[in-house]
Amino acid sequence: MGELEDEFRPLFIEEAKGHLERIASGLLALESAPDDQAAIDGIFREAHTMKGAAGMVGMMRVSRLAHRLEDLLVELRAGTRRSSPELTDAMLLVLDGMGRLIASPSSGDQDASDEAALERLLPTAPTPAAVVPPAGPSLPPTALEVVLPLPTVAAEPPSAAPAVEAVLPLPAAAAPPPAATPAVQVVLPLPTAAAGRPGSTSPQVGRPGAATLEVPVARIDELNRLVGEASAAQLRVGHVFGSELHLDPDAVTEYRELTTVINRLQEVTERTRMVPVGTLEPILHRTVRDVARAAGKDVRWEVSGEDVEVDRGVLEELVSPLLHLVRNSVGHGVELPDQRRAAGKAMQAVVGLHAAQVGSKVVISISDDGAGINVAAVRAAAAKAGVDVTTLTEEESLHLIFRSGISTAKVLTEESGRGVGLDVVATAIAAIHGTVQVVNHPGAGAEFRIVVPITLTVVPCLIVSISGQSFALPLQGIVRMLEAQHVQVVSGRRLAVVDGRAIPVSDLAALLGLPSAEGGPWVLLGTTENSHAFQVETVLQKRDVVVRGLTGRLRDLRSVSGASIEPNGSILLVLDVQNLLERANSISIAAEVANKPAAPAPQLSVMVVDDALMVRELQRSILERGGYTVRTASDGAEALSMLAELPADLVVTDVEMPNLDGLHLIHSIREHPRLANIPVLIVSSHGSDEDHQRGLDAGADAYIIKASFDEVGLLSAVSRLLGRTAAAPAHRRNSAGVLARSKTLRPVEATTPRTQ
Amino acid sequence: MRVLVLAVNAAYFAVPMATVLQVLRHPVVTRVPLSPSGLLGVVNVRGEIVPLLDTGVMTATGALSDPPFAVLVNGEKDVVGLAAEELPTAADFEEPVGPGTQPGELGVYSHGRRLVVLVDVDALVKNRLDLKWAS
Repeated sequence: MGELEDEFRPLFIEEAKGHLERIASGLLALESAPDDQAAIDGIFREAHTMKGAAGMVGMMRVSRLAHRLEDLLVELRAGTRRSSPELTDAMLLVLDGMGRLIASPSSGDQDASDEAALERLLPTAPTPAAVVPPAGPSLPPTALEVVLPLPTVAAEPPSAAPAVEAVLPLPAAAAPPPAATPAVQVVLPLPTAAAGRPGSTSPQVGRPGAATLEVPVARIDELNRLVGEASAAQLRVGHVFGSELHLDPDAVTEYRELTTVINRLQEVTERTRMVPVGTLEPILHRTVRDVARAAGKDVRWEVSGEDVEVDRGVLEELVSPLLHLVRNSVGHGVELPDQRRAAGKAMQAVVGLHAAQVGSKVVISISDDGAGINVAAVRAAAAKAGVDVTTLTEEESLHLIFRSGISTAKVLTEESGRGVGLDVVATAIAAIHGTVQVVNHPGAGAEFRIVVPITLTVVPCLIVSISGQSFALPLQGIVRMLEAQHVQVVSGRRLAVVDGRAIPVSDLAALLGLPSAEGGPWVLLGTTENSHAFQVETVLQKRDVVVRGLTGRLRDLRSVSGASIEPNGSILLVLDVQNLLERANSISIAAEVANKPAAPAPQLSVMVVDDALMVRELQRSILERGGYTVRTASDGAEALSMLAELPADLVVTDVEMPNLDGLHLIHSIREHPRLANIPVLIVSSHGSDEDHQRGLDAGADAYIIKASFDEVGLLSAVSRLLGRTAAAPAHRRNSAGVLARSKTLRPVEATTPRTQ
Repeated sequence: MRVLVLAVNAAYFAVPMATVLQVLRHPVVTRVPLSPSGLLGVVNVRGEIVPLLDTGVMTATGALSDPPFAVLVNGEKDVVGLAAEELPTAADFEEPVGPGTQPGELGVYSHGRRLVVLVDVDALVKNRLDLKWAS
């Protein structure tokens, strides 16, 4: 290959995706309107351009196949051959093959045999007169008159087609496409004004005009990143104005202009990520057509709202779910022509995609006018899978189709014929913060309605303050906000009645391992039916947040779903609502006891140190209800650091912990001039006499075994230790005797007074 | 070998200079709740969100809180920041005076009157932090 070919081949590969897609769209449109000369001309121009370009970069097999398509289009234009489903089948399969050859342009024998196999799919080669390459789009009709009509060769059945090649990553759990699906290359091109209107019955098939340019996605992403970097640099310059030059940056005209330009630049670059929903139309149309032909069904494909724009990342994630849904609609939803006629319906069924923007969301529905979903069959399948369906309403039963573990494939194929892979659909949609609903019209069809955010990069959020740090909670996961309500402890859970329902309540700061504050409003997360209240310190505002996904090792963090660079250069973390809910539900608290010790003075503070979140949270809850201010640390090192900054009145610590264990923590506390007097209570799973002795030797005042731990015991011990401390703060000796009355505490026998 | 020497908890370790991208003074650290103890937080580096690793935990010398310096190094997976308690200094290491004893330690070198452990950041992170990360 020459240097020139090397240089231009990547560009050709990028462009060829658009050519192939536009040819496929044109062929599908032509099938509906075989006499549409404008469509034929448009397809011809695409094939002709592709033939020339492929030849220039040395892809001769692709060039020859494009030439064969050209020949057939010449015949169609001349009227010597009529468009037919079989011819469309063959040409589409050849297009798929060309896509594969382009994606893997090696020159081995395999490709040669592929090319031959593909060429055999097309009708018999034209006569020598027709082999003469046409002069171009303006080929005079007279040159075509010599082409003799050739017998049509039936295309191979779809099951013999090559395997699907999905260029876009599909969800790992996605079911493989049915064998009847022909080779498909799912590629989302960037929007091009001249690319024709997807879904139109007579698309303006043509090459991208001078006003458009197809650009690799990676380059767009890099542009977005650099603009973000420019914005951050601009903010730093503003900071320098203030700190070094003592100038208000906004009073400097040039700085204001720079701010305006960069803000505008950010808006424009964000928009480059938006693509119309219609971008997916060709692959969906193709799937509808192929599944219908394989099943012997007559289906018309309708599209509306294809101009609605959505973030490219969102649309990529919708490919697999939408393919599932249209396959289901055509394969199982709509009836065979005879069945439809018997039911008094038009023999041709209609399957459609409809998109609309509603606020910051896009609603995409896949509907059909088939038989609808057999809810009784769904209930039977669910019951067989162990689901108690006796109390479910019709609507709740219908939504069982989105549950995993129900053998929908078998039941729905054989009986109601619906629902293959719908749990996968629901999972994929949920992953992009979307929802999917089904509307059933028994005997008249079904509609699957997907609601997704327009973009995953700009997320409407509620900004809350927790322990003085701002966090973003996506509005998608928020039910509502409300003032703090009365909390009751029921069966070990903190509950409050909101809107007539008892919902669990958690302190978000404590849940995140941060110091808690008294009071604060509540944010209800989850769904209306299943919500959980989280107390926050302050609700700051609602606003859009430009979220960037975390990369590298930060991707492993569970509690945070993304982050944003704030205008002042700080980082705003976006909390993962689902993770918060799971974490909150996994933590329970001890039951409220009726005769708990009298609450001490509220200003007394306790530091709880344990590497197990659940234990920390449990102790925190008990101590807070006992009236103490509680801070928590996950290991001795963290506790020591926090205590050095702000001492506590008492420390409750575990022994086994990473970084700095409990015994070393106590030793460090005793060695520290400001902390040496703080009483320390060990709460450990180690219960032997030797363990007690080690705790004592390290300087502990009391020792509770986790196995016999309860709320009364903890509060009693803390109360006694603090009461005594308050009485004689400077003369602490040991805890012997002080704790002996508590059945849950074992006294630590002091052998030597602690030195200070 | 050209190295950068970092101080943490009165101990010293070094990283190959070839991996060093930048030294940040007074990095503004955003704490990440419920993160592994080895992650001190995240910092904004020219619009990129970079993890700042707690070198105190990495070297098992005790966790740090507000490091005055962060050294950005090019890791295998991503760019990471290493917390440092003093302004890092460049040095040239020749022959080690002793072997590394822990995974990720490339050897012990003499640097003035100090002994400094040369580390492979990726290996050290993998062996000292990733397990905690996974937990």
